[in-house]
This record gives sequence, C-alpha cells and structure tokens, in this order.
Amino acid sequence: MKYILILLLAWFSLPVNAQSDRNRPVYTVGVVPQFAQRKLFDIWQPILQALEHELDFDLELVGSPKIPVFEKKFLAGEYDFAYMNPYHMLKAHDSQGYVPLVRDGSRQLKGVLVVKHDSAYQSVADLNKKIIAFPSPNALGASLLMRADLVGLHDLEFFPRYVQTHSSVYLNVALGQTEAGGGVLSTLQKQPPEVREQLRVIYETRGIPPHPLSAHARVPEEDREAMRQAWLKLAKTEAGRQLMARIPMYQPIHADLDEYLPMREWGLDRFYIVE
Amino acid sequence: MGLRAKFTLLLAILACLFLAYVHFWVAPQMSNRALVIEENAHRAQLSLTAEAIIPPLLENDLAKVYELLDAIRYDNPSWVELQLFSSEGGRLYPLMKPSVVDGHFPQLYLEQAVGFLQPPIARLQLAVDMTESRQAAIQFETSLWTALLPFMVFLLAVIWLKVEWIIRRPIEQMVRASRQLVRGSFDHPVPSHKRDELGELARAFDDMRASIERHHINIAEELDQQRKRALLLEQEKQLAEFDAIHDALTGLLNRRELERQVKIALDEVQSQHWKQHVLLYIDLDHFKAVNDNCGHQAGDQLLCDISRVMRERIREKDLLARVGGDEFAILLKDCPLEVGVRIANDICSAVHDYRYVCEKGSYQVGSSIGVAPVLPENASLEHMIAVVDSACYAAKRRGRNRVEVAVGEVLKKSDQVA
Repeated sequence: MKYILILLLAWFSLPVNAQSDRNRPVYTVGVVPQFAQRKLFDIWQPILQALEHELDFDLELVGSPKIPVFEKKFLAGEYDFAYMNPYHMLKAHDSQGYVPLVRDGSRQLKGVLVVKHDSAYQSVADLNKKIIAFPSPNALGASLLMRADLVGLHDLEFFPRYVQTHSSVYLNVALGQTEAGGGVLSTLQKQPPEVREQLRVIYETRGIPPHPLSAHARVPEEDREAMRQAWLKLAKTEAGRQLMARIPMYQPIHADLDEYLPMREWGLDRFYIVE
Repeated sequence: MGLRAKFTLLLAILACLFLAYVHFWVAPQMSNRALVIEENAHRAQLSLTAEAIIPPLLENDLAKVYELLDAIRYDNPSWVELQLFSSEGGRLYPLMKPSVVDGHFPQLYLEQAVGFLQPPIARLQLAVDMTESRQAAIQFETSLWTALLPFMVFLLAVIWLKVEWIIRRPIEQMVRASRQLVRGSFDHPVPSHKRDELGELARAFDDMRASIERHHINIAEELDQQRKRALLLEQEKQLAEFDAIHDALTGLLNRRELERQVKIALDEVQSQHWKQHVLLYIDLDHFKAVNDNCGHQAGDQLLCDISRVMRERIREKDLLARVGGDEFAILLKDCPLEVGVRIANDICSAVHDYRYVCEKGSYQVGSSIGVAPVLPENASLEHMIAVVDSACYAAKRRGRNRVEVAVGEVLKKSDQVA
C-alpha cells in the first residue's frame, strides 16, 4: 500500500517537473522594424522557438513600431540580443557594448546608383548638381553608404530628395522626376520588370558585411556563445536554413566586430539624422 | 360602333398615351437621373482618390502613390484608364503610357485636381466605362415598366369590367327590351333593380311599357268591339239592302226593285236597239178562296209555293218579283217576244197544275198573265207598267188562266186555252 502511494506521488510530480522552465532565464531579442510587426513576428518567432530547444534559456521577441524608437531603445540597452544594421550595431557597440554573433556570409551590403536607362549619364561625375532620390536619410545602403561615397569619394555636388521607400526611388527615376536614385540590389531586383527595364545601374558603393545578430555586453559569455552555436547549428538543418533565409540570412557565419570597423572611417555620422 | 367598342378604344388610347408619356418623358428622366447619380459617384470617388494621394505625393513617395492608385483601380473595375500628371504636365502614373482606349463603349471622362490650394500639385485623369451604369439605368427603366405595366393593365381591366357591368350591360338589356316592345312583347327583363340613374331609367321605361301595354290591351279590345260592330252593321246593312229590294214573304224581288230593273231594261232597249226584253205580269186566280178558307198562313204558304213553281220555269238571269198581294211580275232579259209568250204559257199551265192542300181540301189556283215586250216606244216606266197591266187585266177579263200579249195598243190573243 505504501509503495503504491509513493509511486503515485512520484508519477504526479513528473508533469510539475516538466514545467520547471520557469526557472530558465529569459533574454529579450529586439529586431529592427524593417517590416510590419506581423511579418517580423512571422519571420522571427519560429527561429527563436527552434533555438530555444538547443539553449538553456528562453528568448522573447520584442520590437518597436518605428526605427527611431528602436534606436533609442537599443542605445538604452533594452535588448539582450538585437538584430540591426551594421551602422546601428556600431553605435550600439559604442554606447552599450553590443557585440555581433552571427551574420549572413553570402553577400555584402552596398548601395547602387540608378539612372533612367535612356539617359546620358555614364558615371557619377555626370550627376553634378543634379537631383538624386534616396529612400530616407538613414537608409544604410541606399542613402548613408551612397552619400558617403558620392561626397567622400567623388566629391559630388547634388540635391538629395527623400522619397520614403526604395520603390519610390526607382519610380522617381523611371518617371524622370529625379536624374538618379540610390537603392540596393536586393530591392532593385524585387521591382516589377517594367520598372527594372527603365533603370540602369551606374555605380556601386563600397560594401560592408550585412546585418548581424548581436548580444549586449551584460549577457554572459557562455550564453552568447551558446546562442551563436545554436544559431549555426540550426542553420545547418534544412528547416533551419529555410527559416533563416526569410530574415534574410542565407548563409549564417560567425560574425566579427573587426569586419565592421572600416565603416567608421567613412564618416556616415555626417549623413545620419538622429530623431 | 357600340359602347363596348368605343370604351375599349378609349381605354386603349389612354393606355397608349400613358405608356408613351412614361416611355418618352418619365423613364428617360429617371434613367438620366440614375446615370447622373452614377456619374456623381465616380466623381466623388475620384475626388477621394485625389485627396488620398496628397500625403505620399507631397513626400514624393511614388511607390505609395502607385500602391494607392493600383488599389483604387482594382476596387473600381469600370475605371478603364486612370492617369496622374505632375504639375509640369509629365505623366506620373502609370509608368507605361496606357494604350488608346477604344471607344466601343460609353465613356465618362473626368479630371480632378490634386490638392486644395492653387496651383494643384498634380492632376488626375479618368476614363470610366459606363456600360454597366447604362445597363443599370436600363434595368431601372425595365423594372419601372415591370412595375407599372401589370398594374396599369389590371387597373384598365378593372375599369373596363366595371363599365361593362355597370353601364353597358344594363343599357343593352334595355335596348333589347325596347326592341321587344316594338315587336309587341312586354316581358323582356329590365335592370330595374339597380339603384343608380340607369336603374331609374329602367324603372321609368318599365312604367312606360306597362302603360303602353294597358293602352294596347284597351285599343285591342276596342278594335275588337269596333270590328264586331262593323261586322254587325255590315250584316244589318246587307239585310236591309236585301229587304229593300226583296219581298219579305217570298224572298222575290219587290215592286220597287222590279220597277227599277224595268227602267234599266227600258233604257237598255232605247240605247241598244237589238236588245229584247219581255215583261210578264201575273195575277193569281182564286187566291182569295184559299186565304179565306185555309187561313192567312196557308195563303202565305201558297204564295211561296207558286213563287217556286214560277222560279223553276225561268232562267237564272230572269227576274221574278212579287208586286202585290197575289200579283207577280217577271222580267225576261234578252228574250224575244215569242219565247216570252211561250214561257208565259208554260207558267200559266204550271200554276194551273198546282194544287194546294189544306185540311179543308185541295185547292187549285190559276193565273192571268199579261205579256208585254219592252220596247223603245214605251216612253216611260209608268207607261210600260200600264201596258203590261192592261194586258194582265185583259187576260183576267177574258176568262182567267190565260195569257194575253200586249202589242202596241192592240191586244193579241194567245194560244193558251185554259
């Protein structure tokens, strides 16, 4: 009789044990609002859930509605892990000590300068004193890198017009509203054929590695490393690779801060508008 | 054309007029109104579109403008062409110049300025395919018709039936009653049960007809009476005429009539000399004896018998008359004297042979007959009578039961021997 009671007790206490992940630490993961929240959630939540299986801690996806708000938050160090563009990451590193963990190794981030296909412009120098469209002042590839090159490298005098989105840039150039426009290859390739046919790339900026997933300095080393390894491990699975390709991160590799440092010399701060 | 046809024609004309009115006036107005409403809807939508694209346009966010315009075009399938032009005139939307819209359908062209201040920041141009709106207008018209027509038909049918029932049928009934009245029938029913003017007319007609009927009956009765009276009078007249010229007892002609006939005969021989007539006067012999012995009734009977006897011996066209108590006369027409004498002798012997029997015994009567030709020399009726009478008297004086002929003033003896 006693043995039965003990067995029953042991059996009933098992489910309780299974729920003891309340004891696991939770880290917040902040993602830059490149897309709408729903889409962000749709992309990142499965990845984080998959990662949790490999980790001793839980991951909570957090976001902000607007990029400036996001910027303020990461500058305040509100996120344990954060995914943002390299320029933000450098600023975050400088203010909070964020370090990059993993990044896409298959591509480089660079801006492209497009003109109307039947226009006479062949090089950057032809665009002297012309109106050039950019998405927003703070768009990394299309606007910051581009303007840094145009001014820093080519010493070009031009009139920027901020047209809110990459698609707008291409349309403005295609319709002849501006002489040229700054964009990135990925968005250019996503344009419908009738827009792409109207455009011609005349210049590509210097490139930098793409967006890393970074960790705040306060996250312990072993957890940081665990995160990195879990990420890379997940990336090796077919399912994991497909999930990560949506970020987009096609070939996750180990990320190093040094790879991003050359960007400091390009004087991007000058072109960035703090809101 | 009867009332029914007239009224049906009237209703048909009214119906046509009404339908024409609806078709040419009401329906076009209503469908125009419907079209105008549709047009205004498009205008309003275009105005909203212009307002919606102001913020992105001001920010040069052409991608957002395209997104909005594409979405609005998708929501408005009848918007076949939508273009956006910058304030300088260059086309901003769509990217490619749209193909020329073929004009096979009804189109509405609208322009809308973008922005509320002058000058506008852009211009929208819109071509709308109005076929659906037109069809909606047509459907609207059709539904108007399908709503109106059955009701109108129903209304007209009700009116027609009512008029037929209330007005025309009673009138027709009265017409028939009138015709029957003309033919003499007073029984045909009239719609006198109704309580309107037609009922009053019917009742008046009925009263009039009853009155005519009464008069008709009275007149018929009177006519009948008059006819009977006339018949009676006619009969009496005939009787009187008969009596006037006939002897009551024997039924032979009377003296007056005989004299008249003799006069005619006289005139005849005077004008037509070849004509020969003979006059006989017959005086019965011993008549008195019978009258006295057997009674007056017997005497009368005898006279009748003798009349018959004499009648049998003369021709149809000869006239036998009773000119006195026991005196007879015979006018033999178209008869030569010799023949007349022979007939006289015949009669004389016949009368002689006759016997009258009564309880007192059997009696024999004879006759004295005077024969005189009707000659132009006889100046007058009186003379003629006198001649024949004297001949008769001569016969009587010479012994009775004999015939004497008067030739001029000279009496001729007859052959007859009693």
